[in-house]
Order: sequence, then C-alpha cells, then structure tokens
Amino acid sequence: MNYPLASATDFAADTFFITWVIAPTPESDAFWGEWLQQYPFKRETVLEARELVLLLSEDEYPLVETDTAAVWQRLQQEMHTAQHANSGTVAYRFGLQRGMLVAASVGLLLLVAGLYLFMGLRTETMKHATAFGEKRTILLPDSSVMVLNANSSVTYQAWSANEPRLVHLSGEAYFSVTHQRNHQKFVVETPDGSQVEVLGTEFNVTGRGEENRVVLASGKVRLRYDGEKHTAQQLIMQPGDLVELAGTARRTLTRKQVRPELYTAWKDNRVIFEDTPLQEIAAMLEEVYGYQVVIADASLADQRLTANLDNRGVESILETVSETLGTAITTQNNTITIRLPNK
Amino acid sequence: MVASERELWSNFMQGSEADFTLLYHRFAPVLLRYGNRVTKDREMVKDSLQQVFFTLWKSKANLSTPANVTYYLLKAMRSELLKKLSRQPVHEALPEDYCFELEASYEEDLITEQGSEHTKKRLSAVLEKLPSRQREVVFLKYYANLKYEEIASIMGIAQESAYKLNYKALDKLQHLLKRVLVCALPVLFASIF
Repeated sequence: MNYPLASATDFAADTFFITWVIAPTPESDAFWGEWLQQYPFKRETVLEARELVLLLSEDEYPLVETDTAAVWQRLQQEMHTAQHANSGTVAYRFGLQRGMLVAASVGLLLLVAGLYLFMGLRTETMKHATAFGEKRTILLPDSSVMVLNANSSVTYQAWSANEPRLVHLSGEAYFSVTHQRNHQKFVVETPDGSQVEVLGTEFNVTGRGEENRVVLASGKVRLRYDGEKHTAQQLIMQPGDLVELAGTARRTLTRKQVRPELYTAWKDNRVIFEDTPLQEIAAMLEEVYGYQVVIADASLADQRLTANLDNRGVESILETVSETLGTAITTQNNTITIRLPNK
Repeated sequence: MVASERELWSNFMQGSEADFTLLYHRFAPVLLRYGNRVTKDREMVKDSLQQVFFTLWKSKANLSTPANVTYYLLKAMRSELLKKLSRQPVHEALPEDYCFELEASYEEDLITEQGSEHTKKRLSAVLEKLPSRQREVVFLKYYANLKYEEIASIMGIAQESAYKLNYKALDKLQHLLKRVLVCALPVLFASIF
C-alpha cells in the first residue's frame, strides 16, 4: 500500500496497520512512530483510522460470561456421559449411574456458585466436590486450573489481590497454578494443617486422613507442616520430589525422587502402576472408587504390578490385576475380594 | 506462565484435560461473539459452541496442530452454525435501514451525556445496518484479527472479495458514524422492554 496517499479507510483496512493497532509490538510502534515523523500531515488520518479500528475491535455482547459458563457445564456433562458410554455395561453394574446424577447436581451447584461470584457476593465460600468415580476440571478465578480427583472436595473464599490465594483440599487434586504479576502466593491446605505454598507451578496434592502426599511436576514449592511436638517445619521441594507425611501423633516424613507422571496420570484418565504393590492399588480403589477391598491372602499384598491403562473404571483395573498377578477377584455389593486362585 | 495457543493445543492433543479447559476458556468468548454476529438465535450459538468443542475433544487423537488456532476454531464454528441454520426455515429478513433523525440539540445532549457508552451503542446500531456478510468480515478482521486470506477461506470466498467486502463496510461505517444519526434509539427502547 502507498501509505502517504492512503485515506483513513485505506489504513483501517490494511492488515499491517490493524495488527499494529490491536496488538502493537516495539517494532511496529517504532515503525509507525518514524513513519509519522516523516509524514506529519498524515497524523489526523492515522488517528482517525486508529479510532475506527479500536472501535471495531470491541464488542458489546454483555452476557458472554454467563453463556461461556453455561455451555462449559453442558459440555462437561456431555463429555462425562460419552466417557461412561464407552465402558458400557461397567457403568451400570457398578452403579455409576447414580454418580452421574450426583455429577449433574454438582454441576448445577457449581453454576449457581459461579453466578454468585460473578455477581460480586465476594464473601461467599466456594465449594467443589466430586463423588466416587468422578473427576472434575475446575477453572479458578485466577485462571489456575485444578483437576479434582474422585471423592474429593475443595473450598476457598474469594481472594483479594494482596493476600495469598488459599485453597482447602480434602482428597486429591492436581494444580496448574498461574503466576501473578505481583507474585501473589497460592497455598493449598490439607486437613492435617499442612500447607503447600507456591508462586506458579504444577503439582499434585493428596490429603486424606493420615495420608498426605505432594508430588511436584515443575517449578518450586514450599511445604509447611506440623512436625514433631507441633513444631512448625518447612522444606523446599524440587521437581520430581515426592513428600509423604504419615501418622498424626508421631509424624514421619518420607522424601524421594519419582516420575511425577505416575502420580498425575489420573487427571488425563490414565492409570499408571510402576512396580506398585497390590496393597497400594487396593488403597487407591477404596479412596477413589469407594470400595471395600479385602486381600484374602497376605502373600499377595506385596505382589507388584506395572501397567499403563486407559481408565475405563474399576472393572478394567481389576481385569488387569487378575490377568497379571493370576489372582481370583470377586465383587459383591461394595466389597472386592482378591485371593489366590482355586481356594 | 501464559501458554501459547499452539502449546495449549499440543498438550490437549496429548490428552491433558487441564489444557482442554484452558483452550475452552480462551476461545469460547470469541466463538460466542462471532456466532452472535452471524445470527440472533442465542441458543443456536450456544449449541454450536458446545458441538465445536465436543467434536474437538472426541477427535483429539486424529487432529493436527493448526497454524492459527483462532482461525481453525472460527471456521469450525461457522460450519456448525451453517449446519444448524440450514435445518431451520429461513427467516433472515433483517429490518430495512431504519433510523430516526432527531433535532440537533437533543442529539448533542445525548452525545455529551453518554460519552463513549453512547459511541458503543451507536456502533452496534450501525453494525446492524450492514449487510450480514459485511458484518461478518468486520468481526473476523477487527475482533479476531485474521488475515484476509483466512477470512476468505472461512467464508468460502476469494481473498479479493474479502478485502472488498471489508472496505465497503468501513466506508459505510465511517459515513454513518460521522453523520450523527441517533440510531441508538431502538437499542434504548429494547433495553427498557
């Protein structure tokens, strides 16, 4: 385009010009600054074109946020249904149908809760909870993403800009936390009072009863916990660190290097075992799916399993266990019994 | 830590649901706005948005990373809307250009009183007066910041035509914005009732 001869309309229709107005860079700022010095008589025209582009790049469709949230709820529902349709009969046999109803009502609650926040009732406590066998992705007000595993809940109050973003977690969740310009901290507190404190990073937290575990995927976090004789302790975790806090009266801390993917796979609907003892798998089935698991033969408890599965629910996990370890598994009501075959 | 579009996309393709959530929240507004420019049926726009993202999620194993995610999603949104529109009886009869011309003094009051709020209302009123294809080009060019080449491909027209449509729209808009016509009036009424 011949810029010195261009009219305001010409400018406003020019891709190079539009991109400068909508998304300026130091280079384009410099270009147009110099250009205007060279052709000062075009200043008016350029300003007029700029106004027009700015005006057109706005959009006055006011209810877009409620629509976005409403469609997201519907979409989650549809995805959930599709996922369980894949595993067909399994869903029915294990009574996950009811789980879906729970999911629907939780979805509704979330929507209502979302509207409350949207309308500025900011002292309200927000709560998200999942049923057994359910998993939910939640976008927090600061654009951090939280994936809540089954049988878990999280609460938080609206955050103000100069205090830490505090979240109370019971159960298991994966967090991908956004870094804020003012370095506002993000803190996850578990029922035992431990706190995971971060600036912006990805990690997995489990806090159920006596089991408390943090796995760090990337970045850096500070873990504050109640040590022996209620002394406040803290440690800094590095990527790949797993820290486990066990016991209540006498707390023991274990720290080791792991592959974080093994502990965060659940959020992407995968189940990964790597040399995992059957006992641990049984504990997971109890926490995540709400079963009572009985290992009838003590010798089995320490049998180990390595597998990478598409999470199609309990049945497929049990199938893998029984095929790999050659065990017999029976499910009755809410109890899964694992024993050696032919007994 | 704001991930780029393509980063989000490739993480999503590898199965990350967190990134799918981010992808949705980043692009849903532009798709909704686009839909609402193209049709007045808000439920249809919401259904189309849901369909676009559900299809995306279902077929993530077979996708490739597009050069421009906005462009890709807008194109998907348009074909979804067209599918739904073609199933409906056509009633796209836009009202004829209809505009009250008020006394100058009243106009001036209105302008000084309402400032930029007024300009915006005026804009949406004049946008309404553009033929629907021009309105669409203007959205894709200025709100979505796409190249003419991409706009042409989305709308199934030649690149040259996309440029011309936009130029015509601009010319008309500038003209309309300069003549102080209070087209905001129907909008004001609409917001009262």
